[in-house]
Amino acid sequence: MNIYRRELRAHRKSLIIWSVSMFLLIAAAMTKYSAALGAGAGGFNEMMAQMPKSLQGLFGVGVFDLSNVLDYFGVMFIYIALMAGVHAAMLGAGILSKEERDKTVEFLMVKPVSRTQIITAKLLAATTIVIVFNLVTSVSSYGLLSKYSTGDPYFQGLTKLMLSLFAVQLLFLVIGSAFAAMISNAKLSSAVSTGVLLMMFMISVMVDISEKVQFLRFVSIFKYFDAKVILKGTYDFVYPVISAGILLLCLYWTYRCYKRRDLKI
Amino acid sequence: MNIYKHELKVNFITMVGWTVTLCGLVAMLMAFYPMLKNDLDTFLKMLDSFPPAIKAVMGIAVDSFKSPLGYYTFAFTYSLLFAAIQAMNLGIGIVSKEEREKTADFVLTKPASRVKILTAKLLTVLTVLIITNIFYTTVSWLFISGLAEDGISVDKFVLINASLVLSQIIFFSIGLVISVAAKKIKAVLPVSLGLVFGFFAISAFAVTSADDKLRYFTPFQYFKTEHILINGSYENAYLIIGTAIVMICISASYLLFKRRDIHSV
Repeated sequence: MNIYRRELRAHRKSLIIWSVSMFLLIAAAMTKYSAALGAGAGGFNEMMAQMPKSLQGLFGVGVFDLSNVLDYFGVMFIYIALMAGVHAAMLGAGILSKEERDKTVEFLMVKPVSRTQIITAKLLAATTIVIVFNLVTSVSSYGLLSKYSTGDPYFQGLTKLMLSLFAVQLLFLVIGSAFAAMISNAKLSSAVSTGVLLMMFMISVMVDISEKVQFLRFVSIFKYFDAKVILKGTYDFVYPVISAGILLLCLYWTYRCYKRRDLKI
Repeated sequence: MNIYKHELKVNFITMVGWTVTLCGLVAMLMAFYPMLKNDLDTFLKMLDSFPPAIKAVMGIAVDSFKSPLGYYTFAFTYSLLFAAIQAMNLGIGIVSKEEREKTADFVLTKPASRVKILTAKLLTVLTVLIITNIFYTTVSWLFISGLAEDGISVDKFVLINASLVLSQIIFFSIGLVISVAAKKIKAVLPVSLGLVFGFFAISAFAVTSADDKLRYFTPFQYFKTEHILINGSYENAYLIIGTAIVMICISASYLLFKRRDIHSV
């Protein structure tokens, strides 16, 4: 319990900075929304729909109708997910590896708690932080969308997106912590987590522009929770299953590696 | 000179890593071009059946992607993202690492003034960025010239690619001044990724038009490839702002670093 509280306090400042930036970002993007967008040029959406999929990816708009406030939000969801993913991956990797980095690991290890308890407390703290960040993002989004909405329903769609965001955050959190548990060099473990995240982002870009590499979508977490599919298509429930698998595997790996590893002092 | 050589040696592997990543990224994205071009051609034919107003708008947008250079600007967005992370990491890390890794007293007791130390470090960064860019430009040129059916405007290509290193210098100086002004930077990646993705997100979804005021707030928007493709030049206003940011940040870094309290152990 002490570790949990201590971690929350240690991350308070960075959480505030991230939350404020996220709010400002969504606010800045929403001020650009106007109901006339896209709808102005008659037949625009119809033409977009006929566009080859690769080109839709290239223009980044695709199946979204920009005059609808929820669709407008859907276009920027991938960037929100990217930001939240970076935050979660850095948090997951940092929260375990920082003890060795800051040379506080001896202090922690001589406390009368097992390593399992330490990881559990740390992961719980990280999850709490991620939940707070998600809540801030959700509340800002609901508030801003209701301000700009012109009567289109958005509540349900936005809820789905925010739950997806939470899933993305949790996945990157455990990926980060798994690497941190596996690699004892703090710099290297966060670099590897970042590399994985960037690679997944680029794969999602490539899947958008090419039919031929569709199989790669299973490699990118961003594609598991694609706003296009969530809002417009029929969601394939194989993705939550894979996600749960990744989550459990990474958790198992985090505990296993951290419990057995030599700590660098 | 010794500091310069030492820094180059220390940064060598990271530099190779970034160079390979950037070249690989552009190679992968350019490989999609032949397929996209087919899609674009069929789409342009289909466009004939739409009202002239839409045809005019979409025609320009589609046409600009048709040439290898036009498509390259799409790939360039992502090269710029990766290059910005490289530069920001260098900016945040190159000075702060001495304190973090407890080597500050070792460097500072050498018979070299702080100004000299910082200058040597800046020169190292410049060398690293230039080497990375030479490789990147060569690889991207091979792809573009290989894919082109008719001549490519070399001027425009050079302008676009030069904007990569110019943007990197802007990102680097922002990172440097932050690292010198901050009390302590415990880890480079969380700070640098937060900043870069923040800028990237503003650029990707908050900036909607060429005369959007928000463009001033993100270096990702200072050298717009659309503008380079059409006019064959940079936008003067942003060129001036970019230069000003670099000059202010670098001179502020010298001032701050000269007076900084550096804690040993």
